[in-house]
Amino acid sequence: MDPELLGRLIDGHAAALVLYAGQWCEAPEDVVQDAFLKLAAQRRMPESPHAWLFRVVRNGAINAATAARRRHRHEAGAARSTPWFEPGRAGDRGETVDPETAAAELRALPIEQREVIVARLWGGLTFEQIGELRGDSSSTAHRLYHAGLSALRERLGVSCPRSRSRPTPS
Amino acid sequence: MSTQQVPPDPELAAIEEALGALSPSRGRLDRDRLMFRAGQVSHRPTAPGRWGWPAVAGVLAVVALGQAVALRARPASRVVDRVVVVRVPALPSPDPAPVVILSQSPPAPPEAPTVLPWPLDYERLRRQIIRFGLDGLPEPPTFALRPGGRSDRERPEPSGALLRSEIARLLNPGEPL
Repeated sequence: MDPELLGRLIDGHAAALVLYAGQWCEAPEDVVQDAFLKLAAQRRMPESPHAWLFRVVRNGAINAATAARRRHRHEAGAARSTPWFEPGRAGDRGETVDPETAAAELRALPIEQREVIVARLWGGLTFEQIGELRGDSSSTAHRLYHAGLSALRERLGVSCPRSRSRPTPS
Repeated sequence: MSTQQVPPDPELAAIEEALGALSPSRGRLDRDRLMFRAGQVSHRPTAPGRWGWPAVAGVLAVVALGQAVALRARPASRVVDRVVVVRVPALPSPDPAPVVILSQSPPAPPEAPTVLPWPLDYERLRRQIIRFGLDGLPEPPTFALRPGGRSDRERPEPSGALLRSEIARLLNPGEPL
């Protein structure tokens, strides 16, 4: 495998893959590392390495979570050792969301919605790719995405720009 | 990142933008160590190649085991003694060199039996007969003839057959003389 291509994939998608794998297991870095090593060992490069990595990470994270439950080391709702988001990143338009709060609200979402939101917003996958990843249709993926974002909008208090720009009648 | 099939929802644009501004944490993932490990893995033989030599060793082990079983199950060899007479044809003698007769002496007369005087002792007579047969017998003695042509004993003139019969009786002690 081309080392430069591998480096670009790590730089561009490693963090999103760690966030994605963190939906299931407590050690997402190990799962993501194994996925990149499997990609490096492939004789033929997949058509879409990006989507391929997400599929491998998803399977690995689910297996790791199952193994952890079997070892009775599952800790429901326990805080992760590493935060989900880098602290102190401000939005372009000044609308900021606290990383810790966002992470906490994401954890509160159902796993199906959280998975789609993470894959879409930070993974950069299309709804078709997300549907293939989950074994669902693209419309199902979009529906889950819409529902999860609506819930986050209400919990995080992010208002609609249209409502902000519309002048209030006196 | 929006698809053309699903139009972006304007109500969700703000939350999308706000959440998209957050940067996921890479956590404990070490980029340099991951690149090093990926380089090691990429040069490792893949599963089909990894099993090449073990497969060859397995096939050879099966062949050796099969030969051992076949050798053990083979019946013991039977030793059969058989006499084979080999007749060697006589080699033709090479052509002898032509014999050139320079001189030819007259042929030697056949060996005549030795005429022994009468009477003979028993051993000498026996050797004479063995060597020359009955022809080797000595001349019988002549009997004195009385007037009248007959001997005192009145025995007829002995012939060779009669003398031979008497000799035969002499040689066979079991018969009365």
